[in-house]
Amino acid sequence: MSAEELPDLLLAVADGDRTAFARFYERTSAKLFGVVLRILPERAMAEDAMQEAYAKIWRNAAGFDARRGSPITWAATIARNVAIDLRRRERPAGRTRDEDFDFDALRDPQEVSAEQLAALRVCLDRLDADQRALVLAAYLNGESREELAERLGHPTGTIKSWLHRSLARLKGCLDG
Amino acid sequence: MADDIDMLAGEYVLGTLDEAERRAFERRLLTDPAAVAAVATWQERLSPLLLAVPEEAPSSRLWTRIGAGAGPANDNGRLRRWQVATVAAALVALVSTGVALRPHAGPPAPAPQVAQQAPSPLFQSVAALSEQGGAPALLVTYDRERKEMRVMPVNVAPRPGHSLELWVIAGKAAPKSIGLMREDGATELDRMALDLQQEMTIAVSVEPKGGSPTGLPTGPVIYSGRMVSLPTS
Repeated sequence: MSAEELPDLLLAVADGDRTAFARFYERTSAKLFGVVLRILPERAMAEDAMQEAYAKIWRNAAGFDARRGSPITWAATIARNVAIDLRRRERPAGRTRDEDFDFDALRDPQEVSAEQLAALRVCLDRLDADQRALVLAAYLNGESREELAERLGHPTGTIKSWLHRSLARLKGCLDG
Repeated sequence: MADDIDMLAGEYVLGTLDEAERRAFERRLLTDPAAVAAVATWQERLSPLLLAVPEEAPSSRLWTRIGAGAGPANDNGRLRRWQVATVAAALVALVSTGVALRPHAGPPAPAPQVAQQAPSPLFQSVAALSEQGGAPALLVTYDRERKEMRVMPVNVAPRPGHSLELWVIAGKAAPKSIGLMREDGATELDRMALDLQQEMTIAVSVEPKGGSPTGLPTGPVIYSGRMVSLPTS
């Protein structure tokens, strides 16, 4: 099965087709679980998030709009948001992670164009190492502003202005 | 202000807004197409990274849980995402001419076309709800003296197996459910005390039968529109 089939599967899911839903799950669950596990390293909690994410996918499949991105991006974004909500709910105090994010460990996904990822890499590389780490920890690990502030020993206001600076530079680089 | 929206949207997508900021921004997303567009752009910018995360197969038990949890029906039809629902206040021009305060007592609220010939209009506020600025799908009228709201479908596609839930968003407050729409004909809601000094948005979301289980919209918001008070001379 090729990646081109995902939009068709999602259309069938929108019509309440359970077989299509099962196939959509088969095709996407490893990707989504990878995304969720970064945010919720405990597997039991990550599986709870997956269950909630796929319930949302089932309910809202008709809301998918192909003009606004690929099905896998849509589904991964839902999974990420569910996982972050769960992380914030279950750990209001925050649990610090001190592992550095290994940017090079990211593999080239088939679902996005190599150019797109390459452009993002180039632009992330242009950030200071600290700023890059901040963006990646927030986006991929789901760390909140407070968690970042605590882990890095800076006030939240400082984190916020660093994030804004990073976002502005990323934007300038990617759009420019 | 564009930069402001952009930074807010960027932080929203990163997930680093604090709880209060996030809620405020999510409410803004219900009515501000520019904010919605900024979020979509940030998602587009960053999502390649999300998809580059190494895959990891979940346990085979997981599908059993998920498959069993999929209810009998989902949101059939080609709904747009709630993010693209926008305000269509301009459409109230349709009914905003020749309207005066109604006498205190009167017959039940008439259909909107009656208002145009209107010897005694029965409402002072109106909203036309549409999908992304399209033709109006619903007309909402509100009589503040009787505290009655009337929701008239003009062009609403049926959603089999679902309920359409009505929400009112007062200023920057969270959406508040005001009830489910009838499946046929106009929906009349009484004992509705709306503070019309505030900006008031009415929205319709697609929910499981019986309405949202969470007290907030869970399905796509398909129509929304802003309440406009009519001249009272």
